[in-house]
Amino acid sequence: MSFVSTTVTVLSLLLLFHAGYSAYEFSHYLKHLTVNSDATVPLDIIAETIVATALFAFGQVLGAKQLEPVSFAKWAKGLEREGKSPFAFLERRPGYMNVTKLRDEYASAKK
Amino acid sequence: MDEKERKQAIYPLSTESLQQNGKTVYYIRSVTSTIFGVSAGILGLESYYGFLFYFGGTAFVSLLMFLLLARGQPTEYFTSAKDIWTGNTLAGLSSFVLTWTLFYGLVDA
Repeated sequence: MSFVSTTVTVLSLLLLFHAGYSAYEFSHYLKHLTVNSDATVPLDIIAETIVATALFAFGQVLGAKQLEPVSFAKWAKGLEREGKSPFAFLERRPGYMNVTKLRDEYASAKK
Repeated sequence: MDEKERKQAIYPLSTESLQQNGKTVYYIRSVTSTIFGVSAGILGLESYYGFLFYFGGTAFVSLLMFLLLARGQPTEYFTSAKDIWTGNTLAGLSSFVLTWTLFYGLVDA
């Protein structure tokens, strides 16, 4: 997770907590201090909740692991650049390599 | 050998990256759907509106993944383009309902 995504996520959770506490207080006042108790959640709490949720989703997607290319060629190319070839076990067997035979094969294939 | 098989033989797919990408999408879906539940509870949504909220939020997350993770080219990272829009959309539904009902009760003083 990068710094930006962590900051956005923490900020969104703080906003969400604040919105939740506000909604709790609102419902508390509604029950104990008013006669008319069929009011809905105020608009600013709704806005805060939705902004917090959107920010959280944004932070999570931003901080997610990078997707890897699904094409084997591209995926292997990326790994080779890091020095982790998927065919390393085939490429590093110098003891089994018969250079003379390989040369003969190459020469006959060229003809 | 039909067209699709031949294409896969010439351009093979990496099962490892398919699994990795599936895991990443699944993780994002699970975490965000939990928070969607918290929001739905705070907003005091009831019945169909809660589920509508869930599907709206999931669509929003799909859009974010399409733009930020796949950079507009989902076929690069998934076998088909619709995987990023419809894949694992129901994975977080149970955790959504869990936190939705929990916070609906918590917020009600």
